[in-house]
Amino acid sequence: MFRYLIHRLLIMIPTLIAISFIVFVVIELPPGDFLTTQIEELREIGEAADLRKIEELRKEYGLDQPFMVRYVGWAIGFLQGDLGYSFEYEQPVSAVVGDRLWLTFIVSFTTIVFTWIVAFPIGVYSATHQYSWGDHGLTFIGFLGLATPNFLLALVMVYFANVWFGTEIGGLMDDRFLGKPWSWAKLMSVLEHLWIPVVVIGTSGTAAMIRRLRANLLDELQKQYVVTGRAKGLPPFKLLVKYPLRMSLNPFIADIGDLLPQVISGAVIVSVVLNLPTTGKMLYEALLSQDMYLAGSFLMFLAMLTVLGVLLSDFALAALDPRIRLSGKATK
Amino acid sequence: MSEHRYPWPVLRGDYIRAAVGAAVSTGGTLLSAGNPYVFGVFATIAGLFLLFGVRTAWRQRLRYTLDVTGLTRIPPVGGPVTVRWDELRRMSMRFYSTRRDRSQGWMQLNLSGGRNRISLDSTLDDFDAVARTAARSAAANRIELRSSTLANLEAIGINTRRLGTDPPAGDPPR
Repeated sequence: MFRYLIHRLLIMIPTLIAISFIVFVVIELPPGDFLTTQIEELREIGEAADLRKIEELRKEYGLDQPFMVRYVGWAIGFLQGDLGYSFEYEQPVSAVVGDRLWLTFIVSFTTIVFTWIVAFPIGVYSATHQYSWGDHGLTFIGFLGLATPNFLLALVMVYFANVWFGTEIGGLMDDRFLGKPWSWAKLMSVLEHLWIPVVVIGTSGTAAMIRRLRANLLDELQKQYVVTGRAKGLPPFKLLVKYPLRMSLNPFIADIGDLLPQVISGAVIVSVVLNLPTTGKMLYEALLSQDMYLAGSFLMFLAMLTVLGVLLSDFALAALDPRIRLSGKATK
Repeated sequence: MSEHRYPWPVLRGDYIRAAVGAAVSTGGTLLSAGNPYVFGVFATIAGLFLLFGVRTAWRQRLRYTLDVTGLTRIPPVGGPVTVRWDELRRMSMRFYSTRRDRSQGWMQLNLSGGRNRISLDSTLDDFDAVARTAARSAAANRIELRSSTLANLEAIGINTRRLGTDPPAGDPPR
């Protein structure tokens, strides 16, 4: 396992260097920079831009430097925890991101847990009771969840949460806690608001997961080793859990690589509708305004989480399914 | 009796991995000295690569002897460790893939018996002979092998049915 860890770590290093370069190229690709965008915006509202000041700012932010110099500076700064300067917010990126990263993490992590807790028993029930009334009913609800746009569900949920429970519309906490240090009351307020985005974002994911788990488990349950186990008198629960359920989890474990970046990126449209202080909306705005260091930091975080997620899922898969693929071969 | 070692081309590859990994992660450690979190991550990774280098050096001097009584690991420091075939109680063979499609990788054979435990990789010289003898002993000792172990043994050309171990029924669970 140690050798495997080293192999995987060694692959991560060039991968992350390549990703950092590509991220920097991508955020540099649009013509102009943040300052030229600002000049255009000033012109549109009829104000003249002070070109001398603009030039000074360009020099101050290092935008007059060659591409490679800026890339190396950014990459080294990233290693030192200096994520750069946000032109839009006129603050260091780390200060801009602040609480948002944690709030996004809380929303997304809770959503993932919600999705798994709801989808797992339903998926297993649907597969083990195929074509029963329960299966048809749950499948119908699942398709309903899959087909309902998140933003629509968000609007409906916000309305009823306000009418029935008196929860303030939008946001992830009551307004009086915004910008305040963390306290028990603030945490309670977050929890009070949290269930709405969790249910909204989690619904479609839950429905999709139920369908996948049901299909995977049905495939496994029809295999001959399950029939043999049943014929040998293995208890049904043990027979289900020991192999078929374990095998049908493989695709979900392989998905961890995709899940981790979602924890940070959040659901952009739902964030806008529910006015959530998460990072998805901020990333979107940073990309629009060419706030390159803010956008670049987000993209780099997402890439790092993807690489880390793939590493974790590979480890989990190696532990869960240590079998060679028949077409493959062990190397010497 | 036969003697088995890790061949030089494999060790050379591992030395290069350790050196490249340690160099890059040490560079990262030095650059990130100002940030304790990033520094900690890079220092840990650098430590892992250094440890891997030490482990490779250890493996270079490691020998295994295979005979009718058992498998013995003879380390450069310390006494030999033997798993006797008649004491073999547990055997597993795991596959570690370097590709997502599992098309390439290596096997790791774990044997335990008595109070001893031996782990070795398929990169060892004539690994198949060790695996075949271990599988035969497992069958003789009526050890129940996991389906993944059976599948991996089959993959390296060891016919588990002929050895007397229970073959996986029908479509094998992975």
